Amino acid sequence: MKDHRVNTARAGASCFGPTDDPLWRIEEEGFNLAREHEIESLFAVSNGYVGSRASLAEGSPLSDPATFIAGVYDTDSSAQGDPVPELAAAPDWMQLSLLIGGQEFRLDQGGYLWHRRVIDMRHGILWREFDYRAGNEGLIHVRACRLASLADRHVLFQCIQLNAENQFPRIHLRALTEPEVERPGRVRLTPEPCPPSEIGPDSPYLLELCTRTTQIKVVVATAGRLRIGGEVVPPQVEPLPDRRVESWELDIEPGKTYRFDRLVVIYTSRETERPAAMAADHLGRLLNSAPEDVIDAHSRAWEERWRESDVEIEGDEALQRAVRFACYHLIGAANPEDERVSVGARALTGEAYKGHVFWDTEIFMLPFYIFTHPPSARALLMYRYHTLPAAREKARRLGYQGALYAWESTYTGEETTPGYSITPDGEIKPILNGVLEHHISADVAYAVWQYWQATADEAFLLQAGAEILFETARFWASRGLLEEDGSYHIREVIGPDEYHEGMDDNAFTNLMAQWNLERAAEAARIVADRWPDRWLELARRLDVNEDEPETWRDLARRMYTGFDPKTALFEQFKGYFELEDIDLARYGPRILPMDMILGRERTQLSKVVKQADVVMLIYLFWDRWSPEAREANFRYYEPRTSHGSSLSPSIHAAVAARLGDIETAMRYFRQASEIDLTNNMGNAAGGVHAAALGGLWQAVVFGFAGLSVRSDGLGFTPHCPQEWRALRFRLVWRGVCLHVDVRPETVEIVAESGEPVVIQVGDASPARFVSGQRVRWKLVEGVWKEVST
Amino acid sequence: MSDERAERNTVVLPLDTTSRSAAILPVAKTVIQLAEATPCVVQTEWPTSSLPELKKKFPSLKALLKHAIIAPMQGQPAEGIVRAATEWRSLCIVMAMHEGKKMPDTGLDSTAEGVLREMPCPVVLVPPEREPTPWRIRQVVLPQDGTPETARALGPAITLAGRTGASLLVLHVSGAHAPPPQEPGTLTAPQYVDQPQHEWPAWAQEFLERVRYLSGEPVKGGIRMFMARGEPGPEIVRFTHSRGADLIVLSWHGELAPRCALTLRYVLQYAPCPVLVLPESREQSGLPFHPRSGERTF
Repeated sequence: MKDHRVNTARAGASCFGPTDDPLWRIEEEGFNLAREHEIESLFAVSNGYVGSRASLAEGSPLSDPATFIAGVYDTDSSAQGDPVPELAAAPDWMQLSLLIGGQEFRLDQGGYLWHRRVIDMRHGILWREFDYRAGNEGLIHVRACRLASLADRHVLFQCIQLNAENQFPRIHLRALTEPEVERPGRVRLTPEPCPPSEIGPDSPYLLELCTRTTQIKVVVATAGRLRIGGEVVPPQVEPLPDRRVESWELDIEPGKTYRFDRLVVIYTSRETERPAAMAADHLGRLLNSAPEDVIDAHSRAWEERWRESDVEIEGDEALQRAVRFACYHLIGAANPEDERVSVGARALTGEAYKGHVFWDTEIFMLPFYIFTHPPSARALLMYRYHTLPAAREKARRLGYQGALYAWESTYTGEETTPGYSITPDGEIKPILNGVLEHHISADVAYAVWQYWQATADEAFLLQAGAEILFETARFWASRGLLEEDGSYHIREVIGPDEYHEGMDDNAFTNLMAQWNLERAAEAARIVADRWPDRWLELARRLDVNEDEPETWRDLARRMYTGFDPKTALFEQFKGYFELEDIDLARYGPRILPMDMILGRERTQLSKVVKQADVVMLIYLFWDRWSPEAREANFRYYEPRTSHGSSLSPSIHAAVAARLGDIETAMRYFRQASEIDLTNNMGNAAGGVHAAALGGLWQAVVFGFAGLSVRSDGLGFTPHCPQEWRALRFRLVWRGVCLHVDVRPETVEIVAESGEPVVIQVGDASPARFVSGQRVRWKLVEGVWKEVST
Repeated sequence: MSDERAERNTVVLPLDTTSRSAAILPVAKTVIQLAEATPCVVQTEWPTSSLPELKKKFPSLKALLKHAIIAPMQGQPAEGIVRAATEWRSLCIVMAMHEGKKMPDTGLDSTAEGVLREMPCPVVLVPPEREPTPWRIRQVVLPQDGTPETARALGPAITLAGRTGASLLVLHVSGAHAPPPQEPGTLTAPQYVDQPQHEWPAWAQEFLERVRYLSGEPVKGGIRMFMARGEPGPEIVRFTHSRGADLIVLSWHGELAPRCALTLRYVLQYAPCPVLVLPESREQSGLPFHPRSGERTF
């Protein structure tokens, strides 16, 4: 990738702006008040430690500014219903008001000639540009940016630059940092009584806050600077106890550049015992250097991440942007430096789903990190390791052994699924996922094994991975029953298809459990063979007896799968085939989920599937099933799947692509790409759908490029759409960086560095790559053949 | 336009000697009181009756006609009503849905339909079967499809309800076969309910916030959210019946061609209470979102 540095003021004021490459920009032109909440989510800036919604600095009637810090959860115990911990909103550090001629600038009041917001995805910066006409006094050009530093995760930065064509007397710029305002349904950090910080023009201001129930202390240090033609102008500071107000009165002259920079540093008691001192020191250091250094370091960090993570789709600009948008939010969602937190369903872009962690992370997002940035994947899996005690406790409480992960969790790993929900038409629905949706334990184990295969990270396996595999296998060994038919049955569960609750022998759950048991036994063998001392220590500490791995293997062998060799179909759960068949085509086009249309009871008595369930099984264990079984199950379940979950379309795209059904694959792929980006449904108002974004990346890499993990390396069976001239991406496999270039009839792979790696394309003989080697394959009469090395 | 016309708030009140006038008078009285407006009477039958005759027939008119403006009747009744509302830049028109022959599909007569086609301001359409009892606004049904345009049109209704302390029952109606509206900024029912325990509360909060802020009016009374599944028209009528609501507020884009405005047509045919029809386009409305100088609001 070429080096495209961000345009900062160092290169002159006129160059201060976003990339002009449209394929790296997500843009919103004009201003549509109704879309504000969506825009705030889509254009959020985040670095895995802290994320800020892209609210207008000056506010609007529908602005909902919020900053979330990973791991900072609190419970609003006064809330109605069933209060559970949720991400607490940190102070709004982004507020700026601009009074021109006594009138406050607000987009909803008009006066702007044009207005644009841009996410420069390449550099991870939110830009905003507009021209404002103040009465008859002429034009002011405004350009602003905002970022959450990827180079230094405690740092947030905001800048606004003004240029005018005419003289503007009496401009009043006011920068405010204050605790989040109260809002229904949101927990906010509350100020802690503390002595006012030293007030001076350049001194950091510290705002100290605390969560109520979890007693996490958060310190926000902030300092603003106004420069006129490069010269710093001190602000007037209002000494208020729980907020910082800096203001400047200006007479703007044409030809001069007026630039306001605000640096914000956040520390919490989660990572240090002295968050105030750390924040003050850190901000003090930053104030000794130029603000451009913050932008430069951040931009370089993003460039670095894109070198490993970029996906290029030549031939479809909308999909190209959509896939980069997915990567942009995934990169910003995880923090490789913190293994006590994970990525919530909406990442740090919104308060919906309360920052809770689901299977979304391991099954939908984690593959992106495993294959592009293993340190992030490792940290996310370590979160599951650190929360094993809570998983063990949940299993024990429900009468099982081993570890049963919470369906929804926060930093503690404890179950935080609300007990019920109230639909807008007043129906009170008990929520059983926290009690019955157990496949999450196997999902975590699946991710552990996938990471181990892709990285060969021995330290992880020995420190954490093996223990997770053993404890989850133990759960499965206690969860089911060997029944009279000689098979191992797992009864009363919820599978990914959550329309059907309390089902027996859900194929997805059973086969994931089977796989979990097998891998645990295999991990035990590997550890015992290669690291006997560690095995002894683990076996002693976890009380794993000699026979236990063999028991796991035996139960896996006896697992009831619901597979019918005659039809090659899996029955999604016991009795599924006897349910009412409903032709979903008769209900299209529709926006309402099918369970709302049919009602809960009828949906449960029908074959309507909420999301990929057996299809997910086919996807995750592709090489375990015959081509006939893959085809038969997709063709059977796809028409019965209503895609009532955002997790569903991408997996259908991936499976259809692998089956070579490009038309279906593209239809689902476009649907998946529009989940957040469509502008007429409001899907993203509460935050982006992080799992759907991870699914989109998987649909490209595992679907269209056909990546599979083999025992000896990697495989590709590509089905590149004809309208894509090329599909290019990078992968990291056991330290080797691979450049993959897939076209409708060729594949070219370059191994950049690292140990030799074996790669097979289609049914061609596996190729052994060494560092710097380039291999090309060609599709000849439907068969992939190696043509050059 | 005379100064008087620029300054006075008026509500156009078509009157004749039929029973429909008896039905609209209590509604008109409440609207006029809430809006602190002057009635602008348009007589819609020819030959016109004298005012004493009308007062004799409808004793409740006495107080209402004290300071009323009497607009001269010219041309067809619909034309006269629209002209009066335009000339007086009226806040709204209060009229009966029909007297005698209903037009197919709309439940309106030719006069009401003619007014609706040209509506220069909001129109309160009253079922003529309504008993001539006092009308109080306690519950207002606001059907919404999630489009910003529909939400923006609600400002006047929210003001009206605010003055009476009425509860606003916001009803999101989603049809089983409805594709999403194309208007950017629309909030449809959530297509993806990944986890209902999170999705529904978040969606309901978002929906209500949009209605609150896009309508441009603070909601003074209580505001509650409901959801209906099915064909919008029957769902709105069913919901209004079930809640015993006093007013349905519908925003409308102004097209009454065949196969258009199916919801409006159905509601007007079967509504159990008065229906306030608001023009979606603010340019056609005397009740703008952000009142500009000289424009009127409730």
